[in-house]
Parts: sequence; C-alpha cells; structure tokens
Amino acid sequence: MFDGRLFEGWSEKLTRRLASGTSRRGVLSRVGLALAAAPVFPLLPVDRSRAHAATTPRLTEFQKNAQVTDDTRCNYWRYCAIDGSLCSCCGGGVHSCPPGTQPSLTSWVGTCYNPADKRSYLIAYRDCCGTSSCRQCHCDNTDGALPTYRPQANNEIIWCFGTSSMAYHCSTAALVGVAE
Amino acid sequence: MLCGLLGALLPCTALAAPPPILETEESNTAVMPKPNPHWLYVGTRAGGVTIIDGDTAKIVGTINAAPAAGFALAPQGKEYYVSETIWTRMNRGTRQDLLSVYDGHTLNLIKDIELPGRLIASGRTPYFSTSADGLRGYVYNMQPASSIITIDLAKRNVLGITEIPACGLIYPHGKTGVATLCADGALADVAIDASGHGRITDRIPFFDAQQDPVFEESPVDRAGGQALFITFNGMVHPVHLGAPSTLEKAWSLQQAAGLSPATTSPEQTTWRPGGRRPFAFHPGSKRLYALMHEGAPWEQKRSGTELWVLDTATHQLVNRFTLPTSGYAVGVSEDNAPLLFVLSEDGWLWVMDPETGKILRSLRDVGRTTLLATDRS
Repeated sequence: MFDGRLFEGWSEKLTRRLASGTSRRGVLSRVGLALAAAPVFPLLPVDRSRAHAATTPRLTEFQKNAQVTDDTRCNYWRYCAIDGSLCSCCGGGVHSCPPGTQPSLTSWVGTCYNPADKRSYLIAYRDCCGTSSCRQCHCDNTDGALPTYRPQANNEIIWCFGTSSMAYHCSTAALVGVAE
Repeated sequence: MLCGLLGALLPCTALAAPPPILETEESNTAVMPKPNPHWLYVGTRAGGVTIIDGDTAKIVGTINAAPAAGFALAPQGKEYYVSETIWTRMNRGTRQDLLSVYDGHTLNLIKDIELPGRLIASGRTPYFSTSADGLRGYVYNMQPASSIITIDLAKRNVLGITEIPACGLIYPHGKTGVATLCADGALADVAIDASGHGRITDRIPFFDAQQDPVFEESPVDRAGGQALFITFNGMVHPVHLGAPSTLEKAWSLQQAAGLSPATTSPEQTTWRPGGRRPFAFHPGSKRLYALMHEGAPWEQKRSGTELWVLDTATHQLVNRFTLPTSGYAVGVSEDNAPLLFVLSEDGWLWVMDPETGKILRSLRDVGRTTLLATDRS
C-alpha cells in the first residue's frame, strides 16, 4: 500500500528545494523585492514605496492583479498556482479544511508574490479530502504551474494521497515560508 | 347539425371521425450506428465520454466513465477503453483502479481489467493511451514512483510495470514504442518487452522544464511516430519517435506568423498558445491547429480567441480564424475531408470547416471538456 508519510517527506523536500533554488520563481522573488510600489496597494508604507519607485516592475499578470484582503476570490495573492474550489468558500479557510474533510498529507508548491510586503512566499497547496466536491469558487491559476512530469508544481493531480479517502472537496493555500 | 341538414349527401360519421388510436410501443435500447471518422469523443469534468457525430452535431451515445478518467478507442471503434478509479462505497471503501472495456456497438461493459494503480488527476491524453495497432494499452501511474502499466488488450490482462524514474506521461507510437517526458526537460525512449517490463533506453534533453515546459497535450501521430512537442512560449519541437527518437529543427508559432518569438518576459504581450487541449494535428495535410490568445507568460490554460492553422512542413501560418467563443480544446478528424472541432469552457461545440473557418454546425451544453479524441477509422 502507498505510504503517504514517505511521499510527504519526498515531496516536501523536493518541492522546497526546487521552489527555493534556482527557479524562475526565485529570480522573480528577488526581483520582486526591488519592485516599484504600485498605486493599487494603498496599504504599503509610503517610505518603502518611495525607496523602490525607480525600478521597473516585472510582475506576471496574476501578480499585477493580486490582492491581499479577500481570500474567497481567485486573485487573492496566495492562490497564484491553485486549481480547484477555494476552501474559504466551503466552510474552511485559506489553510483550514472544512468540517468532515482531511488535509492531504502531500502538497504541490507554488511561489507567490505578496503585494503588501513585496516578498515572495512558498505556498503549500493541500487538497481537502473525504467528502463530495464543494464546487464553489473554482479557480485555475497557473503562475509557475508545471505539467505532470514536474509533479511538485502540478495543480491537476488529486493530492489526496495517504488520507482515508481520495474524494476531492476543495483546496487550501498554507504559507510555508519566505521564498528567498 | 350540418350532417343532418345535408342528409344522405354527407354521413355524420365522416365528419366526426376520431383519429386512429396510436400504436402501443415496447421500450427498447438503441445501438450505435457504424462509426465514421467525423465522430468526436469528449470527456467531461463530470464524468462520461460523449460521442458526437460531427456531420450532424448530434449526440449518438455516451460511454460510462468516472470523473478524472482516461479514454482510448480500439481501431474502427470496435471497443472503447476507460481507465478509471472507483470505490466500493461511492467515494470511500476499497479503491479499485480499472481499465473498463466497452463494446462499440452496444456500449455495454465487456470486462473490468483490474489495474495495480493509476494516477488520479484531471484526465489527459498521455495518462492513458494505446499502441497504434490497438493491441497494447499503457496507463501512467504515480504512487509516488512513476511507472507505466502495460496491458494486453486482446487477452485483457496486465502484462507488467515499467518504472520511469523522474519522468511522467506516456506517448505510445508504432506497435510497441513508448516515449515519456522527464523532469529535467528530456524526452526518454522506453523499451517495453513482450512481458510488459522494460526500461528507459535513451534520453534527449531539448527543453527547459522550469522556464518553458512543453504542453502535456502536445500532438502525436501514433501511427507515423511524428510528435510535435510545443512549449508554453510556442516553440514547436518536432520529434520523430523511434528507437532512438530523433529531434528535428525547432520553430516558433509566432515566427510562422511574422512575429517575434515569445519569451518568458512578463512584459511581453504577444500571441501565445493556451487552453485545456490547445493543439490538434492532421497527419495527412501535416497541418497543425493551435488555440492562441494575446497575453503574457504563465497563462497556459487561457482559452484561445483565435485558431491558427499552420503548415508544419514549411513552418508558415496558413490561416487565422476568430472563434465565436474562446476555445478551450481543439480537435480535427483524421480523414481526407476533415472537420475541425472547437470546444469552449462553457460547453459550446463548434464544428468548423478547416479550410475556411466557417461554422458548419454547433451544439451547446456539452460540458467542461477534459479529454478529446478522434479516430481515423
């Protein structure tokens, strides 16, 4: 039988190494630190935005439109590589599974840019498993999402390995750490 | 009464004759008509594979399939194969991974072949496919090690398992050939013997899997062994699949249209391929059909507003068709008088003339496409 803990260790190590290493995301995240403050982020401290105002933004389309206040919308900054229903719309939260479901032991990983502090963070996307599909707030974001031959960054796999049920319900986006 | 006034000239019974009683009926079940090359097979997110006749844009039948199933058809549509996962108590209980065999004439289940596993993911063509002659089936598994499960479709049993470390997906060609793509950006040839066991024999690195990966749904002509692996940026890498496979000169979709090649720069807005199944290839005319949209990098699933027709021999753009609704998946029949099929995310099917782009027929509420297949029979 499949050992979910083994896969978890393998997956997490691999994904973190890949996501924080020499990836495009790593480059973007470093570039992101030096980005100009955009007027769409009014919560940003004024002094900080002025300090970076001279640089040229190199943001993806998702990053340009990302927001930090509403985690029930597809453009919430942590959802840059999510595919599925948002658990925030299903009785759970951004990192909480709804009642009656279990978080998957394994995850796929994205690196998302937070426009509020202009840092990039590693995000572990876990599916919540064990009950019928929620079907609310379906998103399919693809920043850095890769095909199945790079499974650690693939958002189409049902990641419910190792839970008591493979039934997909919704997806969460837990913050794992700073990507730099 | 009128008949009374007219007396013998017009009998009352003639004017008031009731309509004949309708004949009684017996409930029965239709069978499938003879398959033709204009049939389109559409797998949807909710499950099931819908068979649509492109000549009428009408549904002729539906093959049972669980959500996230794989699908393949035997030559001439004699049988249909569904790789799927079900549980003894709906979504709990004992997991059962199956290759379900359906009769092409009745769509009745012939046999369930038990599989030792399979990847459960939103259905894609290279998760399950058959050899060009239809005698072997190949199921991709990831549990978590990557492997190929080989099935003898005539004897209806699993032959063996071939490990493909750090690689994934299956692209069968010819009678026994299989290629796979690897995490380091290589294509690997996999030799699988008669016992269903095998190994990777050759590797050809040719793309950057991190920065500009190739689409999973890159088109492959299984019979001819011609593959067109196309990157998110739109670079076409022709590969002649064999033992070993050989790489041919790459070309750019954008350059074919007289534009600069697309890059990974977030600032570059240009025409890029995208969608669920962005490409279709017609082996006879060597034409490639690509769903294209104007946008930035990392929008690889964005539906196409245009369909580009490209000559893969000359690397030239032949035509551009504006679509009535954005195209999520494209297919083309493989006969000499082909039809073009475009499906949208909201369930429209457009049947088009591949020469002119004219909409010939349409069907709505097809569902959200996962898989698309045609047959050359």
